[in-house]
Amino acid sequence: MANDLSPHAPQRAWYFTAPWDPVPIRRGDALGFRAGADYFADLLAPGLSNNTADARWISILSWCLQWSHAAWRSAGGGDISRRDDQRARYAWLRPLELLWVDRTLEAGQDTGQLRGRRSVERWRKADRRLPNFAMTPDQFRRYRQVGTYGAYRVVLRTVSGLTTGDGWTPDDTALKLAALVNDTLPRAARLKQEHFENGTKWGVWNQERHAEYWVKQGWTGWATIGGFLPTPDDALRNQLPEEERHILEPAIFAAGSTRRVSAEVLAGAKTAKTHAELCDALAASTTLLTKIKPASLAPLPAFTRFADAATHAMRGVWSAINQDDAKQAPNVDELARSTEIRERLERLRELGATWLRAPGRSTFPHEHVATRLAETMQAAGTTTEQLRALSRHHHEHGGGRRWFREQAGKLVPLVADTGIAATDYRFRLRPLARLAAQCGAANMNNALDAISQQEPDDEEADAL
Amino acid sequence: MSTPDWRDVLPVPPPGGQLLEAWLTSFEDPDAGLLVEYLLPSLLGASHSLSQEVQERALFFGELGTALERLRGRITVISSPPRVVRELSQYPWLWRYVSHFIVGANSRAVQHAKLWAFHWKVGDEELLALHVSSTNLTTSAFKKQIQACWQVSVCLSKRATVNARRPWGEFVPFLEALGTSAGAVATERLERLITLLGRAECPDDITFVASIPGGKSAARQLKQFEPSEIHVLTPTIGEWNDQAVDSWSTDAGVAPGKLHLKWIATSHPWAKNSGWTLSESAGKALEASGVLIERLPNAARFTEEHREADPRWSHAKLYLLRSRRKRRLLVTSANWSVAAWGAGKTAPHNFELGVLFESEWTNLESIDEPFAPPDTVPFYVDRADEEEERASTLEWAEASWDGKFLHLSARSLDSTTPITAVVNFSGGAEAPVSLASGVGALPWKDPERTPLAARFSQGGETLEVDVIDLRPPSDFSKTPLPEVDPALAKVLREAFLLQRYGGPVVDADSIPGLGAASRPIGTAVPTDYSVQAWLDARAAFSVVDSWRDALDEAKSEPLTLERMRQDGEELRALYTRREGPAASLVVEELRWRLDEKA
Repeated sequence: MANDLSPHAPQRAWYFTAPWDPVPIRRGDALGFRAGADYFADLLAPGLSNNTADARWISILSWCLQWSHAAWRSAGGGDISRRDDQRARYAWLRPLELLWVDRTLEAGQDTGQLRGRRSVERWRKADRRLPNFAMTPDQFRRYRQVGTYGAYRVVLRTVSGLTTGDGWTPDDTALKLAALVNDTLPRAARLKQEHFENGTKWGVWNQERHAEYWVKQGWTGWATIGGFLPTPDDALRNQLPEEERHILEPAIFAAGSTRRVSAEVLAGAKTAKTHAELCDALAASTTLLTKIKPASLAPLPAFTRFADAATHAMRGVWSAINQDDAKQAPNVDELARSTEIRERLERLRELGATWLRAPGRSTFPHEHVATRLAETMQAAGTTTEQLRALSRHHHEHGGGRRWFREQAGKLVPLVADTGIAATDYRFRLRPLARLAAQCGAANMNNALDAISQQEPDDEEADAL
Repeated sequence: MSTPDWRDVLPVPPPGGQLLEAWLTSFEDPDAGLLVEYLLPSLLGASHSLSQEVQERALFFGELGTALERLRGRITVISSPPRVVRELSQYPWLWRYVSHFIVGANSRAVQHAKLWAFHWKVGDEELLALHVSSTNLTTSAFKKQIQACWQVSVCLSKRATVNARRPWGEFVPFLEALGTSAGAVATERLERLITLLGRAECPDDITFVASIPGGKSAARQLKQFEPSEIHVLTPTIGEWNDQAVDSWSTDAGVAPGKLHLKWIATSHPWAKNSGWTLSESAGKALEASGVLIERLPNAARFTEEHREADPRWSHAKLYLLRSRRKRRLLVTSANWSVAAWGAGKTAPHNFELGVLFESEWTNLESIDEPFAPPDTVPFYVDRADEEEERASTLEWAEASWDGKFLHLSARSLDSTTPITAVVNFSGGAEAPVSLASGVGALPWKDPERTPLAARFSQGGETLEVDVIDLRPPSDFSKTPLPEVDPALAKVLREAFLLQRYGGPVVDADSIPGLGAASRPIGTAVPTDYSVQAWLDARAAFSVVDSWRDALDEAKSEPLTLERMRQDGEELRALYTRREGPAASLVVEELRWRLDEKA
């Protein structure tokens, strides 16, 4: 039952609290390098985000945008310049995103980028009767950011032809994709403009009943299986159907575009075995340099190795802190005696020295955070001092909740676990490579092998 | 209200609701992480989420910071003084925006009530939502415990009347005493809530049951219902003795033999954590007094939705009063202890709050399985009572900052040992202050290194409190937004200011430094300059109109009015930096409005 309060009918209730399953807060910037990583990502893969993982969703979301636009306009929508207007617009889109997740599950497919899957599964178990797809009000509110549209909003806004630039109004390319998706659907699941033109009482559905509208009236055939679905995990390197590629490829990987050039450099790095080696290839590309100048990728190889070493050291410290449930605040001196920690910190120190000598470091706008850590590590003579330097850096420069802090000579844990936070700093190479593979822009198999080290598949996929 | 619902613990706004003020109480120190990451974004209906994407993260904190700035002085949290050394806070800046008070200003007290009160504006209506429960403002209370809650939402009339307060019964004196105990500033805040009660109609079939430290035994409030038996389910049971049980049962009007305590066996899953507490001596004393201790079966569930696999333990405090014809349920914060209720001449030590109403829910009553040793043995454990008072002579402290001076106050039972304090500032600096006759002051004007917390010491005793920020809005706006790159703070502040008055939606694309080209926020890409000038003018005057409406609405509220004027000054500064005839006209209009309202 929703925890809502109507303004006119005094409401009273007594209740027990249901299990609270909050949308997890990602704590992914332990060292403050995220802005630097995003800087390189914007140079290499502009217009993408870390979660743009499946080009098929661009097609499906184009379909969702087209038909939610039709419903929203029919229901009286017209302006999206203000916050409340955009909320009203999104209210028509969100159910379609989630119905596509349901449709995928209905087809027996349980892999792929299925945001909201846990809730939709609960909804299905309850005969699709629970409000808001079995999400709590807070989860439903946050779905805009952590849901599928949230993951692809940057692409929809920035890739020419998908929307008019507002992220909402479908433009030529999106309309072509929407038509293609619609044509692949079984007849019972297809939508037509006429559906939105005959005697619907929009005022009723506009009262926070958007999901109910789509299920009961707007898209009653959503569960009829057939046609396009989100790409399952084991097919993410496969090319999409030709007609779909012909629309997507020129939009996302136009000839001569930065995304295209980056993808081609990655595809050409045949000997690269690691993410860092791919970065070497990108930094060495003169074609890419021409595309991005006056910016430079020269410091990228040193930056990525230094960032990886720092994250590796942080993981080592965290693991040592949490080895003993009963004694979770070990002495700094005691930790410094660990061979593994000593080796990780020493490696960090060495790569810090490399970073300080890196070419083009001064052209990198976010160099100061990395440089600060490198300098303090150089100044730290002993393992204990290095450990303290890392801890201080984490506390002063890290984003979000800190993992631990030194207090009275001990490293005190500050969070229950770091989970996803322990992932390395990356530059959107994986979404770029995946989309390039799906669109047939280049053969990305080697690059994807090199990239797929410790990275989680979809960082926020299990949020709801 | 016969059977309980099963609801999300996180409060949400009514549809279209805008938060005007909030009061929240907690026994335990409020968890800033819970408030920043979940509770406040939910109450404020935030559009952005705390993400690891730098852009979204900046927008989240920009939105939260500016929304909280608008509500500064309007979100009040009252808790008990911290009993243990406080954990390092992830978001110490939160208490600049949310005022955190502790009880004990006038005499020793424990704040154990769990009251949330929200004043909402929904269209032209105003609502007051009250939540009375067992829920502390901590992550473990939300995630690891099952809570029982009572909630009501009532429409507010335009004017308050003194008579309208009467039906709220013990609730009003409870709020008055709580304010007094939390200091002068808190008293003002709670007076505003009491005024709202005067504008609301109290539901006619409920009764507030409240404990006030030093007041009369709260059990006497139960006697009017002529209970023939009382069934008790609370996770913490006090150190009862024969005399105390007799006194409590006399106060409540029910014989000890008609008191049914529901308790767990050693095999119950809830015995595995530190939540449920009954000492063996208290258990034996209760039995000796005739109290019936009945076993809560391991498989017992509160509702159909309550699953066996649910790993949470019950923190609910429920009392079922059975009389000749009716059953009434009390949903409360009060454990069954003398500290919570008082007994006979012994006054309660705690602030407690509950709501009693008729109910047909019989689950509590029907739990009456006996313990059958050796298979089922009552779970006895000796550990510190959660309400056990801080054994400290340093009983209360407060630190507030008005932008010029930091004012420190403390109350101690020890009048001879000097009291000192160390003030922590953002950026890590510290400053010592000595108190004389319980008060001290420190000149401080730096808006970028704000005082965050003060740790008071007296001999071996310490007490740490969060600094209450009482600066006027014009001074407060000089403090950078929290958790945001300082280079972005100003532009974010302006973007959200415009959005608040109907300007363009704040998105990464509209913020230079976050993804947009350096074009002023709220202006479109110029294609046809004559049309563009007209569109800019229309958008700008729409913002001014919204601001003027908000200013008119705030005229009877001095604090809000001051904030609106500050917004007007900031809008004027923003448009002054813009070029073009539209901006000039807007500046002129704003100047005229600000002068007119001055």
